[in-house]
Amino acid sequence: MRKQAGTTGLLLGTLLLGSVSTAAQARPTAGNIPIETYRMDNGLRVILSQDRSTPVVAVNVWYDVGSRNERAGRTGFAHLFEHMMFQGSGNVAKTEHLQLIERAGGSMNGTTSADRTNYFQTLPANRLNLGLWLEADRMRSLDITAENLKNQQEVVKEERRLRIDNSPYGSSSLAAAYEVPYNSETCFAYGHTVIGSMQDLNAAELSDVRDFFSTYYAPNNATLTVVGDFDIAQARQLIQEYFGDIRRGTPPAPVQCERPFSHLPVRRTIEDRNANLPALFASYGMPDAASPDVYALSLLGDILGSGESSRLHQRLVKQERAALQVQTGADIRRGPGLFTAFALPNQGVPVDRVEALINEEIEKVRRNGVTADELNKAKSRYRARTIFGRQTTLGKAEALQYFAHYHGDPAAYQAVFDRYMAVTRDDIRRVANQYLTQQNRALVLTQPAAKASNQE
Amino acid sequence: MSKQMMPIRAGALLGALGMLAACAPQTPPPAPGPATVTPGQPAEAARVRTPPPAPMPLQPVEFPAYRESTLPNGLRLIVVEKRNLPVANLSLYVQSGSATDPAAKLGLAEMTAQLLTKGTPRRNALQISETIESVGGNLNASAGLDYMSASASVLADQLPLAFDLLSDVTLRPTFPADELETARKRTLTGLQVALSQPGQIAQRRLIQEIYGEENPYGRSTLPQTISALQRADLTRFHQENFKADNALLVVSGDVSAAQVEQLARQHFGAMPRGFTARAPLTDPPARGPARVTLIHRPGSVQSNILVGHVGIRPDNPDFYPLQVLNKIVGGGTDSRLFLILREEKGWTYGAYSTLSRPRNVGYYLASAEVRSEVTDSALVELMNQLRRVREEAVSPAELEAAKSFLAGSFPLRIETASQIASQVAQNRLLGLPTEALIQYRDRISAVTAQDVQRVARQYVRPEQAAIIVVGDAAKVGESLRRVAPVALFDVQGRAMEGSALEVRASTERFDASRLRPVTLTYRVMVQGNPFGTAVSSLAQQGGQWVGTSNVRLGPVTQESETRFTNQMVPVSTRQSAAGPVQSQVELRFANGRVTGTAKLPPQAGGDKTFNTEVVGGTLLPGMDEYVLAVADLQPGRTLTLPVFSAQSGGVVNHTARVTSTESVTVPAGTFQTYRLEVTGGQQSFTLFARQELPHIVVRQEFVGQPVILELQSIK
Repeated sequence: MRKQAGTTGLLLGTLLLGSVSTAAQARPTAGNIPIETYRMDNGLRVILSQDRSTPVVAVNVWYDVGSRNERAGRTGFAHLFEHMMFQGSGNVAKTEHLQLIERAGGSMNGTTSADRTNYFQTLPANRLNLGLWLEADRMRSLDITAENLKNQQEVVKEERRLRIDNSPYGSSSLAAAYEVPYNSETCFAYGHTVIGSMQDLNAAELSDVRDFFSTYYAPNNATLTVVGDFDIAQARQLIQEYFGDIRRGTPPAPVQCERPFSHLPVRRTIEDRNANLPALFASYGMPDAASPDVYALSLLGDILGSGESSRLHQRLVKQERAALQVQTGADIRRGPGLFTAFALPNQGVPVDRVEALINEEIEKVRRNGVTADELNKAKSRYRARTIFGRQTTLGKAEALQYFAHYHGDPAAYQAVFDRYMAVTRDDIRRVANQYLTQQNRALVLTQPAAKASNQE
Repeated sequence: MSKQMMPIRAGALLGALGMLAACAPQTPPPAPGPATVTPGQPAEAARVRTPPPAPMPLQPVEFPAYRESTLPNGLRLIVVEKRNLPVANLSLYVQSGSATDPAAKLGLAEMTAQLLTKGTPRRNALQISETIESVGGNLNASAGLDYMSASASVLADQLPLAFDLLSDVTLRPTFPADELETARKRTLTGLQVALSQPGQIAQRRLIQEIYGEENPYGRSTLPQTISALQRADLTRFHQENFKADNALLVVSGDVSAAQVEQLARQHFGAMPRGFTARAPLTDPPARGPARVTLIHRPGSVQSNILVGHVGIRPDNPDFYPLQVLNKIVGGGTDSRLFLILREEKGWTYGAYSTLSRPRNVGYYLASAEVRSEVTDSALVELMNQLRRVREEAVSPAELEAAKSFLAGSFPLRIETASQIASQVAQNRLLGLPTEALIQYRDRISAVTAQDVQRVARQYVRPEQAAIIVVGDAAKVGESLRRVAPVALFDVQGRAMEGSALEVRASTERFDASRLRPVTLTYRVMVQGNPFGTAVSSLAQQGGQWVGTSNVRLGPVTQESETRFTNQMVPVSTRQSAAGPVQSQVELRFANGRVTGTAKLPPQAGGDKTFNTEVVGGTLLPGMDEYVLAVADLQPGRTLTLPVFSAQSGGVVNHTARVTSTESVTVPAGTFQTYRLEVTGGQQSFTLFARQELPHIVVRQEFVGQPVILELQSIK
């Protein structure tokens, strides 16, 4: 089996020189997803995907807004707004959304990232109408009141305290993912965190919330996806009935991000009173999701530092016993992304030593590349993750939304998958040389800080 | 240096670090009522709401077709074809679980399951995990009460590999000795944690009372039964139970029955047959009138209340109306118990009911976790709700909501190949007909209010229930006696006299001249790894003794300062904790009164102010270690110390029992020590104190937490 795998790797390398579409037929696929896409008159994009194998439907709305759309002084707004979306609307009382879904036997939630805000529910098939009606009601008539705002400002501030300010490595990991690697002068979009600053959260005013809603939560800035067991004609008719009369808004301003990594290299030490051991976060500048280089970087992230048999785990944790934990991966974004490495040195091991070991392993890839076995294993794992992720209607709906937003077309799932399968050992070596350089790196070191003592 | 440790989880330190998405919190919904207008919008008060659309017609659940066959060796095979995605799940079930564990070896089935994936003649543990990792699949093994299972999830084109791997680990496990020791350590740590959690203590006691000592369903794993497990026990258990005629192989997903049968013959065809069937379990003995088993957990600010009794066998057709009943009484956050005990009365964090459905007779249980002060009222209300469902018919609205939830959530549980495999297997293992699965929704939909009341009268029996309360008996004992007769036990399950709870003045005299100024440094070990440090100092200052301590452990920092006179009379104590859980306590003692303030997390009692008269000889928290350092210790001796507790706002008894002498080796050297079990405070612990005076602490172990302090240096 090992031999066969090696041969396949070579074969792929050769095929890449030829036409991609021909090659795709010879490769493993990620399965076919039937898709019907259309845009309503008010600009709402609709993606329907039927799968009648279980009487379940996922109703899923992505708003094309994340923390990357925020301006200075109003950070944390996209996430704060997500909370407001559960506070009631024209025909739905506060928190009733959750109650109606649960009573129907379904489940729901919403999340915010730098690149988008999503809302989702899974329901028994005969409650498709409930899911659509609830999403339409809050898109049309959210209850934006001073009391709800005040209330949710406190909830979000508490969330920030719990998950970041009082959590070990909370502030370092955020700094390494947003503030340090991105030049916040020229790329504020990614140069600030999703959760935002306490000061900005306090400053949010009702008029900001209203403006935000009319700009970003208009149908022309949203995508509705329905996946599962439903009748297409009936779904289209229900969607028209519930969403058809929601008014279009003015298109939002495009996201600005210029020369995000021009200030690198950067090295920053962050004192963390919650951390007891030092830690290392390295972030390397990467292109955006549309660049084929991100696929090679993503597979390299898997090979270097994902799982017990990865190179860094074997070297740092097993052989040298220099680290308790080490992991790497590609954080792919709609805008420029990051290749990240994280390590927790063992007690008594200097961070410099861990940094040197990581650099050494990266250098080996830059010089010698990776083996065909490693690359094939990473591809198999990617393929498995992709397919397992689509086992539920919710997983499939999220995947279609992802491709619609990150690649402009829900059907891009197939082309992107082919791109991953087409990555060669040369590609891996090339991207390692191009991106994983000291020059292109933001290094965040966590330093355990002495806690304020109250002893006399 | 007896530190009051806050609960910590070492794993949390290394948890997910990259926060990309922030989720909306899932807060429990408030009590339902007529649709109300959002406050703060009086202008729209007259607005009329449109109700949500009515459900569309219920479609029949077309359960994927499945095919059953039996291999020549007696192995039953079920193939469920679900071809919408190229994934496959392969699960082997063996119809023997922890209920077959010998009484002295409880935990045997669980340990056997844990070790299946840790070595075969062809692969060691790392190779097994690498094999499955390299194809992006999952491999798991676990044991339940009545059966064990091992399963592999892979992409469909890896089905042959899944068969190869799963047959290897289930038919030819080698149970390597070193892996057994690793797993034993992990299990003991987990068990230690479980034994300190009130919910677990209550649950273990409940099943013991419902089923009795003789019935395996009434037993729970103990540290000594885990320690007693030998490699030979695992090997024998495997040989006796992993027989083809005691097993069921379920394969689901994008597979063809023909290919699966061929692979099954190839990989499982040699599985031996010849299982010796065991007699079914007998029904537990009938119980007398209800009485309360009160488990004393000193310092507890809340009580766990469990009311439970025997339920039904799995094939009983009344299962469906009972499911509806359970949903209405306590199956969720819009059920009666939650709405009344939490939303209406505000007594609890949660109140639920459960209907268990094992292979033999199950149980029905109603439970609540409440503030100590309302323990008796909450118990009375729980019992009332159980009586109410017998006495009056449920309302049409409740009936509809419960049925719509049960019927609605069912298809969400059969979305993936592995979920389907598990549903089909469970159905078979409970000995149910196929229709039970296919017609689940129809049977739920057919339940009427009369059915619910009929089964309530037949099966819900609050008057014969086992009632378990875990809480501070000093606070809740008296009021519970007015509800039902009470039997008192300690957390280890030993019967206690009520008089042991009375706090009496202590006449013990301690000789402070035996103390010496010192600085002790400890390393804090979490699951055997060094994770932090603790420093404890004692010094003379202005004619008083001042003891200070500082513990750092991951995100947690705890500091304290304790002052007392040369006659060992307390003066003051300050304690603070920073990190995920924050608290601040300041206490002073003078003229027989304790005054001061406490800022505690809400679950530990919140903010408090004290001005309390206390019994003679009362110590302030943090002083125990100095008192024990000068006490006359010898094996068999028990010291009872009245100590003020900021959590309870009164004096509680701390008990230090010298159990034995032991030689203990720590980084600071080897010491002859007394082993002391200290209970009665927020956290129980074991101390190893130097025999030589003063008896400084050489090692401290926390009950129920994987944390150990070891002396590093004495200055």
